[in-house]
Amino acid sequence: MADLLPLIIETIQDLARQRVIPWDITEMTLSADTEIDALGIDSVGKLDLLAEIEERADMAISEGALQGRRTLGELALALEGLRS
Amino acid sequence: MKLHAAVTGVGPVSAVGTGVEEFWSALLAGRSGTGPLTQCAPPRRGCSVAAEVADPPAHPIDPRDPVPRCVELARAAARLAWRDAAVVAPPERVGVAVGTGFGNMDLVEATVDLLRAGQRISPSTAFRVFNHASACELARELDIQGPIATMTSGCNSGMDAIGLALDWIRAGRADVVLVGGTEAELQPTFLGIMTAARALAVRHNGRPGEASRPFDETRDGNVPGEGAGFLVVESFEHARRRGAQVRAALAGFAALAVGTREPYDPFKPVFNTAPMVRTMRAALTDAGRTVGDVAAVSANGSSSVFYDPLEAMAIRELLGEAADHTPVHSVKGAIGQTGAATPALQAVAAVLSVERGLLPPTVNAEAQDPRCAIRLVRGEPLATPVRTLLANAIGFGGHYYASLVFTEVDGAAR
Repeated sequence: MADLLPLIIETIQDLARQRVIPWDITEMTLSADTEIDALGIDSVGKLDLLAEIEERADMAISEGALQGRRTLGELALALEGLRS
Repeated sequence: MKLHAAVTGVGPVSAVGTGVEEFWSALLAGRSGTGPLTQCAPPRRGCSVAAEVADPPAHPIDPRDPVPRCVELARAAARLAWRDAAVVAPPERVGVAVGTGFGNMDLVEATVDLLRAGQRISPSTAFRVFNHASACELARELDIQGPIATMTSGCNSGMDAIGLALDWIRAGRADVVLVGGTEAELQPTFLGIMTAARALAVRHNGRPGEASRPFDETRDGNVPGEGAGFLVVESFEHARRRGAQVRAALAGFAALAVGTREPYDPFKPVFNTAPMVRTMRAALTDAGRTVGDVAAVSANGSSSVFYDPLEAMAIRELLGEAADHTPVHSVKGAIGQTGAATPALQAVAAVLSVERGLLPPTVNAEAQDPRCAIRLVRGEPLATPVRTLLANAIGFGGHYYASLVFTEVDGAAR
């Protein structure tokens, strides 16, 4: 699995603890198979999440890389693709 | 049928050239005007490419006589259009309408720097800092005494100003209107905000001439920039009386809000074409034209991952089977997405296309995105009669759309 997955999961949980995205997420077990929709994050929250991932991974995430990514595992693989 | 307005002058100031022939020959040659961003530091991990104007050159704001870049660009483009039209009219029958989205933020930023350093602020700052400064400066310089207005509706501002000018001519509020759009986006504030919104291209930072790629599979966002485009429009009756040369007719306009809509989701974008189709239809109706009259489309085509396919789908929905043979092009591969200036520069190019029967190629559209199933003009300019041209603009965030219709002079409603 992609190296970025743990960073993505940690970022989601941190933002949930800060209530930037739904707090309920702190009670969920996140994995590569977790569907992004199941997190209940609104569109602005998703942009916040991506900005935070950019900071922590020190990378630029272009918009087009995200369309059609359904799970956290797919997101991690897409971001790995951008880094390589 | 509603009256059309005569376009008697055009003035482009862009990253591919200043003045009609320089601008037009660069567009026809498929030259890119985007290069490394030099006017300020790029945002961290953000877009480092920009469409910068060489003439007039950029320079730091003089604190003793502060002139925002936006005003400077407007002056340069407006003077070109004014001279091109050789305007002769009573000053009280001449109006000025200017569109600008972000306005004079460079002067705000420079003023904040002075305040923080405890330095004196020039009193003239108060007269130059408002978004209305460009229109006021042009009225003062050219002794315009008729209607005056500034439209600020984001990236569509330049197109909306042209629509307002058409309304003034139809209503008899003015015989002549100097109208255009101006924008100077290359400031840390604007670039930082648009980077946070994930609107700007980053993938092609290492190849700046290739960064703006309308309808191309590898596009990844807008390339910011600066510029200004101005037109002189007047009633056909006035143009005839003074023996003015008419380049094309400004025939119709529509700007419509989308209403309630799904928020944009970068993972699952919803392509709702209905509002854009509704807007294009409304502009054609305003022009007294039908869908079957459309000979060419000047697309918004901003190299956006989301809006390029949405626009292509909307054009296809509007035109039906005619979309297979109706040429579509975007000037933004050449001049970037320069806010309010782009639709005004699109209008300048549209006028020249109608007048000269040529459509410039879409720069950097190398591998056309299969979702953008339109007949895109690529590689070489297309020589074709352009009797009716539809030009589109999409407001940032997808809250509103605008379209203009230009037609050839023969058959215009006078």
